[in-house]
Amino acid sequence: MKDFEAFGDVADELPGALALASPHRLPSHLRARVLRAVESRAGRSRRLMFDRAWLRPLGVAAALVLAVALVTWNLELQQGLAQERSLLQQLRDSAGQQSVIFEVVDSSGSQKVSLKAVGPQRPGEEPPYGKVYANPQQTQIVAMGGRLPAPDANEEYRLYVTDRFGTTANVGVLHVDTSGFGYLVFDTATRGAGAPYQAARLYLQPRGSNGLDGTLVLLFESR
Amino acid sequence: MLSGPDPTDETLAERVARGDVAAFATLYDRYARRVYAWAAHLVGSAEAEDVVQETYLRLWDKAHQFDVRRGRFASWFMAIARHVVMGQLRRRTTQQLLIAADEIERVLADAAEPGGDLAEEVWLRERASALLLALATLPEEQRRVLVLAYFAGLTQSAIAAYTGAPLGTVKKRTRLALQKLRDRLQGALGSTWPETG
Repeated sequence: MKDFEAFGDVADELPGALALASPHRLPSHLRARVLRAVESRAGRSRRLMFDRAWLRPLGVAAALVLAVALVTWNLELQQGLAQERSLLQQLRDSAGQQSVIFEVVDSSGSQKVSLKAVGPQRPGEEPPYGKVYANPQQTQIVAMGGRLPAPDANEEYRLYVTDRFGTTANVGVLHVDTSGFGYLVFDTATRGAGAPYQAARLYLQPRGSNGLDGTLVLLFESR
Repeated sequence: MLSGPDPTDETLAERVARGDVAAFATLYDRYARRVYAWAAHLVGSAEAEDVVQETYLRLWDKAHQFDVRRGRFASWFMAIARHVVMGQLRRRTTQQLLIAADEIERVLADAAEPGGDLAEEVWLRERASALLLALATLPEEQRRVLVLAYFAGLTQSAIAAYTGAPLGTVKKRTRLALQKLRDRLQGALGSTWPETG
């Protein structure tokens, strides 16, 4: 009512006047009850503030971890693409116009896996790496590697792949040139050649060896 | 722990906004009886305790909204109390409110001398006692519209219907009653009475 706003100085005192005249006495226990209720609410507020105080650093830490993970992932992606471009260029330089190779490597339907270096690396040297390509419409697979150290005279690099059925095959010898690049083409006689592969391994092993012995140099394993 | 000269309501409200339970307790001591007596007359003793608790919990939650530049704490707080009391009245019939208002009017009219424990009401006594005496001397029809409108929350149209007086008369009686109370309080308390109207 507007009159009570206009006469606020009077209206605000009306309950006080009633309290003086009223026989209703404020129960003494009510004070403790109200204070308990407020202290309980104050405790909840403090706990909430404490929880929020912990949430903020946790959020910052999570954001930092995410940012680092994204940067790392991006760097690995860039590195992988650069390695692939380098390998393909070297393949073109080495393989000339062997059309079957490029039908496998350049096909948009091809599946490829990246092989990564295993074991300790020599200080100051970039680690070796490799790729295996398989085109579901072709019987051949193409494998290549880069930055591979030159093998001793009695050693050679040999590639083994494990297909989706779990069968491991000796794919053949990867001959490496003076730049550390090598490639091989293997005809599996089966279209798709068991791709996608469960694993691919490049071993440095004694010449003529036909088993998984020697030193594992490059590895791909599906997760 | 509060020390030194008694802090003003406004200072206490600022402390409550910062989570000061001691300041809150002091405001309880100053105003709880007003809220309780008002509610007890309208909804009974048991529910009046709930009204007091709810009013003070709202004070705790909303203290940061109190702005001393916009008015006195007493006005702001009694607006909260009024809102809580009126919320409780929604479940009452008009007949129940009229019975309660009759009782309040009788108490105010009979209060030639303030009752109760004066030691408990030191802060209330000066202004509330003066107002109580002024209320007791108001013409009955003016006191009645004031009680029905303020304490029972009835609209002026509802009061007109209940009393049988024209709406314009109800409005005039309300304004006259408030003006007389202000005049008598200023006469009794002089410059100590805050002018906010």
